[in-house]
Amino acid sequence: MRVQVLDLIKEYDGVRVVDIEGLFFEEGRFHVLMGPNGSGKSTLLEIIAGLTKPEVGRVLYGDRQNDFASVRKRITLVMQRSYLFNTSVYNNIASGMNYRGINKSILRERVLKWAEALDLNLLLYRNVKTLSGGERQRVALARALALEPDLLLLDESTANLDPESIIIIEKVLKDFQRESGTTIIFVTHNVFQAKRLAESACLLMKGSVIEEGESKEFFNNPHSELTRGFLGGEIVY
Amino acid sequence: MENILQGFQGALSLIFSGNREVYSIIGLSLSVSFISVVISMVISVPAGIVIGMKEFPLRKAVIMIINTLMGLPPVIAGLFVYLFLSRSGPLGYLGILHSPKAMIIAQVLLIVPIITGITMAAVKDRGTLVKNTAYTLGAERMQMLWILIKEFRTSIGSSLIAGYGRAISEVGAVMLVGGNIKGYTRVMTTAIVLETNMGNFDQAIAIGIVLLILFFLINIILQRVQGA
Ligand SMILES: Nc1ncnc2c1ncn2[C@@H]1O[C@H](COP(=O)(O)OP(=O)(O)OP(=O)(O)O)[C@@H](O)[C@H]1O
Ligand SMILES: [Mg+2]
Repeated sequence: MRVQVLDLIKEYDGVRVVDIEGLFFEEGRFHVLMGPNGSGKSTLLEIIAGLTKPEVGRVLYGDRQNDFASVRKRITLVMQRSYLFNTSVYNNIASGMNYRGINKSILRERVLKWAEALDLNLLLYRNVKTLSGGERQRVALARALALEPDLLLLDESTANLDPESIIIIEKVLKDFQRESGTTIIFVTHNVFQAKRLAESACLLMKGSVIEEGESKEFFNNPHSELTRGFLGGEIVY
Repeated sequence: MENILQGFQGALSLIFSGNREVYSIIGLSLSVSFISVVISMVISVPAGIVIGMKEFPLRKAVIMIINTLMGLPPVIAGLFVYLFLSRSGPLGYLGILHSPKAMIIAQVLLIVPIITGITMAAVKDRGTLVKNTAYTLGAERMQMLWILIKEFRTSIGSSLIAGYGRAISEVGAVMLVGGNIKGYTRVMTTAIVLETNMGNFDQAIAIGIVLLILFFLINIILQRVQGA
């Protein structure tokens, strides 16, 4: 699902944390959103996911430029600080599908499919309270993927994982995106990961878009001094 | 000392012989308090969730009032309900003063702040996170309420049990608005007061024992619910 961000301003306590004139996420692509801490990445995803409203501007979804309400059930966000329901891994992965009234046998099939993909099948009947941080993060991902959304928003979803899990998850996401044609917006401040994943990339600083473009161009030949500094790890925060 | 021992003996025989009066008093206590908790729950759980999570004008004042009312002296609740239900009061036409209904109203008044207060405090910190998560997964309004109740079931359960404990142990309010009428509005606490005053220690102790056991049970359930 295509996403158009238009003239967006979001303020917290009078401070502008997002200020974007225009930003487009093309359909079916893997978009990576980068930026230093506090640059407004999470806030932007929350606005796109309908969790908070901007002071000014709007977001349009799909080719027919729908508003959020009409596409809500085709979008999901895995929050940076994701929350798991106090129940089993199975029920967590199933929860979103339950709310959408998905038929029980399809539901079961999908829970098993995504548990398998994210290496959770041995944990299915454990309460999430007993899981490690990395396991919890994979449950949150499985819960989102099981919805097979048209727009998948991921906020630092591999931040607490070990290198091996990161590679597995990156592959899962890539495969899913290729097969389903889902649009993914993936937030990270790991430049190496961004290079591995991105089809197009965007750098956000102090709430504004510094540079965006095709992955190749963005990483090999950035136009902005700031982007070069960020990619080279020269900007110290 | 003699008195007390005899009282205990008499009490046990009253309990085990299935004395009808004692049992009807116990039954009324249990059922009136149960109904009060159910009514309070329907009001307080949604109210606690909304007050705990939503921003609205005067929210601080509302929270302060609820916290104050959590410790409301029961007689004051009783007095309040009495004034409303007495013949010359605004609700006097209902004619329910000195009935179980009046007792339930007074108890609801006492329990609503407790359940609301505990629910509110529980959802305050993590409630928004739970709600946002459910929202991103596509939950509708009503589903969201149910999800919140499920996620905070421990605190909500505790508040219901605390409310039940307060209702069943309370004496001042039910005495005032119920009138302690034998076989109609006489509950455990008011019976203990009456029988003690009249020197019928057997009955007073018998009911006292039951009330005590009940409290143990309530606390056992409470600990279970809280997973302690
Ligand atoms: N609910 C809020 N209330 C007040 N300020 C907020 C709130 N949410 C975010 N902010 C502020 O908005 C700015 C942007 O925050 P945001 O979480 O979007 O940054 P980020 O780019 O995701 O950072 P990070 O890389 O650390 O996750 C920060 O300065 C933050 O303090
Ligand atoms: Mg963030």
